[in-house]
Order: sequence, then structure tokens, then C-alpha cells
Amino acid sequence: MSDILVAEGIAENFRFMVLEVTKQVENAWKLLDTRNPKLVESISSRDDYIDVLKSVIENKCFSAINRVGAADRRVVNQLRAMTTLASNLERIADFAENVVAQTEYLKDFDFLKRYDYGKFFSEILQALGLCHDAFIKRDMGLAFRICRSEFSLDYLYKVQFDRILNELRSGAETENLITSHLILRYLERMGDALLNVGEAIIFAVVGEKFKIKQYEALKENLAKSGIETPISDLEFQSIWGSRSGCRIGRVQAPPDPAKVSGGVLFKEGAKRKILREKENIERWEAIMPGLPPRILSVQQEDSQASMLVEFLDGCTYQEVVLNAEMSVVQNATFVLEQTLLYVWEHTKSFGPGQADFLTQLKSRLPDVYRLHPFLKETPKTVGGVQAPSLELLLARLEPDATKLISPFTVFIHGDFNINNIVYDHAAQSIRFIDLHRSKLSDYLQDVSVFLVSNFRLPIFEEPLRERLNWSARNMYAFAKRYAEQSKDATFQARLCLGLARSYITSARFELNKRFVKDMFLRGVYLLDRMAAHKGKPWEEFTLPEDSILF
Amino acid sequence: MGDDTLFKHESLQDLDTVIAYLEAVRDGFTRRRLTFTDQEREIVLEPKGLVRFDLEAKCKGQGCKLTLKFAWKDRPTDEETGNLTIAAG
Repeated sequence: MSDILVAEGIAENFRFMVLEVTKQVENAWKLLDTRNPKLVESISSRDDYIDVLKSVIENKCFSAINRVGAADRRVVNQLRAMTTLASNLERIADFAENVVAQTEYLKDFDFLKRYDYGKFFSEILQALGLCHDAFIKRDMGLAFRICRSEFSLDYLYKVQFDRILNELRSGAETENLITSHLILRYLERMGDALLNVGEAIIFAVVGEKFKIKQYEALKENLAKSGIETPISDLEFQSIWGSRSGCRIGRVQAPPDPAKVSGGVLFKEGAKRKILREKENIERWEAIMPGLPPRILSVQQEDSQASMLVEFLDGCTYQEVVLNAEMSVVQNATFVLEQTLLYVWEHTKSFGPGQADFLTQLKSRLPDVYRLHPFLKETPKTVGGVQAPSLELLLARLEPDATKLISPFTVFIHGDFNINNIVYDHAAQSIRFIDLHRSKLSDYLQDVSVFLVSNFRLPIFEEPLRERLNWSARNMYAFAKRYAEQSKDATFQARLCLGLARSYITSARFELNKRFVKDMFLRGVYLLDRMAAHKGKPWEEFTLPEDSILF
Repeated sequence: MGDDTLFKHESLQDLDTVIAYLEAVRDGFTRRRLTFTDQEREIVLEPKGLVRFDLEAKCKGQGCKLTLKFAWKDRPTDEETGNLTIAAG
């Protein structure tokens, strides 16, 4: 657990919140058993306190997120998870109060006993009892057990629901039956909230949303891949242990060649996408063994598919650039460049290639405008100077841009942002992840995405910005040298187009208006420079190099 | 540069003088060096790289206003930082 949760008192608030919510659920159970009217009062007064605790936790978390910023994603993830925990715990307390309110309509308390509500309560209380430790100790095993309570509760509910439905058909005891059903339904909904709690804890640990609905697919995948105990603490701890707090200094230990990365990553989605990624991983493996993660198993259904891939040790290149000592950054950069050189040289095929940046840009533009309508401008003039709109620039550029082709193609990553590159300092290796967009294309697509992925991070502290600028400057110099060696004469023009495309389309992922505008205007500026070049050969175009720096 | 600096000047002018000011700014941009002085100090701006340029012209009743804003990063150049690039291959 991060210190900030302790220092801000959030950890303590959370502990109280779990205790209070547990007490609410226990009292609701007791009320159904004993019909003691004092409990009604106690439950309703405790509910206010729980609401206050929830607000306190949320306020502290949001203000801490604001202070921590994007630099420490692990802490931010924990804080985000904590807000989800607080709101779902509060929801459970509300459901307990709802249960109590229903008892007013219950003519016969004994009537309800036939539906075994005790089993529901035991399940809920057991899961609540795990919440504190699961979060504080970052225990994936406990988190999974919390998630599983939802499945048990769903099952319990289904059985009793069918029974009530049957009994309703007899026409007798309608009021008691309806009220009993409502009570069981609230207990079932506590399960939904517990599932959210479990998933939020998993998110705090692994940093990626992991939908437990995919649990069955995961179990099958694990069985297929030969991992024996499906959901044990151990396997998931390795995920948490390997990617969290990615602050690396010098080499800690000599690389062990026999060492196999212990973690697994579960991916699930549209069949087409998952299978494409699988094919791409196989292709990357053939190009440079060990560059992509290993596939452990693949499951297919009608339209969905899932895949277990090796979870890679090491940090993303982004984390290295932002956090590591400069010597480590340089080392990672060296290995990255060597890897790219190898890939480009071994997959190079002569013949024209085109990344089709303008088509990509135009297809994503509606999403940009939907999020930021203020970016849409009409053409303007200032005295005799014309300021064309983006649409006008695109229309002007299109005929010439289609003639802008790369003299060769290479196998590109396809989504080469600095977060999709993993560096293992101990093994001195670079590995690629998220490979579903890989294809043969212009290498400048990868280069431009890489460059803008540095720029577009909403990090504004100067020392960190200098690091990101360093990373961009370095990649640019590397790509430029490669272009010169490869006699790629239209390098600057194509890169300019790729950068413009990435700057403009990046606006759809960012909410900070000022920053969005900065990126958008940068893209428009680059296209304007290209439009101004019209009529002259692209070989003579010069990219304004400042455009890659923040 | 790098230290935080602020120079402010407010005045009422006739159009000829306004033109003189605009020309001074224009010359400054041309020479990549704009100089501002008061009794205590001299402030020098050296525009470089990409300049964010915002222009706003508006009239409300009889009151009219033209605002020009130029913003850029005073980032040290590669030579100044001794930035190293790593040779590949």
C-alpha cells in the first residue's frame, strides 16, 4: 500500500467504513431473525455516518490524485480504486437499509425464513470480511474470493426466485411473496457491489481493468496452458510484483537465462482482434524470437475470443524515461534502437509503401470534434494573411499527399507508443506488447506515433518534460540517420504528415482543453507547412524539428 | 533566461506612436531579440521555436479592442544542454 493512503488517513477511514458496513449487514440479518425494533433505529442512524465516511474518502482521494498527478500511476490507481470501494461499500449499506424498510410490509417474519436468507447474509459477510486485507495487502487471491461471492449470490437468488415465481402462481400470500422477493433481490444486489469491490482491488494491484465475468474463460485458459492451480494467490501476485513501482536503478542481479516470467496476462475481446494479435505475435516471434510475449493459450467462442499471454518482466519505456536514472534511460534507448534496426533491416521489402496518414486522420476526426467541438474552425483572414481551417488544408493536401510514398516497407508495431515497449534491465532486452495492429507499412508510422506518445502525456513538470523531450529528440535523430542511410529522400515530409495525424487524433484521448488545443494547433501548423510547400518536390521539404518538442 | 521575469507598460498613444511600438516589436522578432527596460533592469526575450499566436479583435458598442498574444518556450538548445544522442549501429 502506498504511504499516501496512510498519511492522508484514507486507510483508517476505509477500515472504519468496512466495519460500519459490516455492522449494517449484520444488524439487517439480526432484524430479520429477531424483529427487534431497536435495530431499525440503529441501522438508520449508522447510515448517515457511512455516507459521511464515503464523502471523506472520496474528497481525500480526489485531492490526492490531483497532487500526485500522472507521474505515479500506481498510487493514482490505488486512489481511484479506493473511491470505487467507498462508493460500493456505501451502496451495500444502502441495500441493508432497503432490506430493513421492506420488513414493514412483511406480515409474517417466519414466512421469509423458508428462503434461506441466512445463506445470503453469510456469503455477503464473508466477502466483506476480506475487503480490508485484500486491499491493504494487495492480495489477488482474496480479491478473487470477493468477486466470487457475486456468483454464489446470483446462484442463491436464482434458486429462490424460481421458487417464489412458482408460489406466486398459486395466488396465495402474494404480499409476503413480493416482499420476500424484494428483500432477496437487495441481497443479490449487494453481490453486484461486492463484485465491483473485488474488481477495483484487482485494478489497484494490476493496473488494468480485469472483468471477472471473464473468469470462466480465464480458468479454461489456465487449464489449457498447464498452469495447475487456476486462481491462486501466487500467480497473480507475480503480476503485481513485476510491474508495480517500476523504479529501477542499476542492474540488481545477473540475468538468469532459465528464469521464466511468472505472470500471465489475460486478454479478452472481439474474436477478430484477438486472433489478429495472435497471428501478429507469431509473426513477430519468427522475425525476432523473444520480442513479443509468449502466448500460453487461446480460447475461441462465437464472436469472442480470449488469450493468455506471458506478462513481461520489466518496465515500459515510458516508465523508464520518466523514472529511471539517466544511464538506465540511455541503456534502454540503445537496446531499443538496436532492436528497431534489426527488425527494420530483417523485414525490409523494397517497393512503395504508404501509411495513409490522411485517411487515418480523417476517419478519427469526428471523434476529436465530438469530444472537443471548440476545435472546429472556419477559414479566416487577418489582413492579407490567410488562416485556412483544418478541413481546407486536408482538401488542399490530399492530391499531393497521395503521391507521398515510402521507398520501402517494414513490419511495423502499429501502435508504437512508449507504453507498448517493455524494457527488462536485468535481461537487457526490449519487448513489444499490444501487437494487434502490426503490419507491413511505412516505418515512419511507428516513428511518428512514438514521438507524439512522448508529447501527449499530460505531464507538465519541467524536469519530466525534459526527459520526454530527450526521448523524442533521440528517436528523431535515430530515424533521421536511418533514413539517410536508406536513401529515404521524402523522410521529412512523410514524418511531418505522420506527426500531424498523431497530434490531431491524440486530442480525442485528452480532456485538458489547453493541452488539447496545443496538440491540435501543432497538427494544423504542420499541415499548413506542407500545404505551403505545394508544387515543389517533397524531397526538398524540411520538417520544423521544434514541432516534436514540448 | 529561465528566471521568472515580468515587464509591464501601460499608456495612452496616438496612432503614429502605436505604429512605432508595433514596428519595434516587429524588429525585435526579426532580430530574434526583444528588449524591454525600466529604471532597474533590462528584460530580453528571445523568441525561438514555435510560437503560439492568439489574436482577438472585438468591438462592443464604441469600445474596440485588439489583443495580440505570442507565447513560446525558452528551451535551451542542444548545444547549451550538451545533449547527447546515442549512436545506433
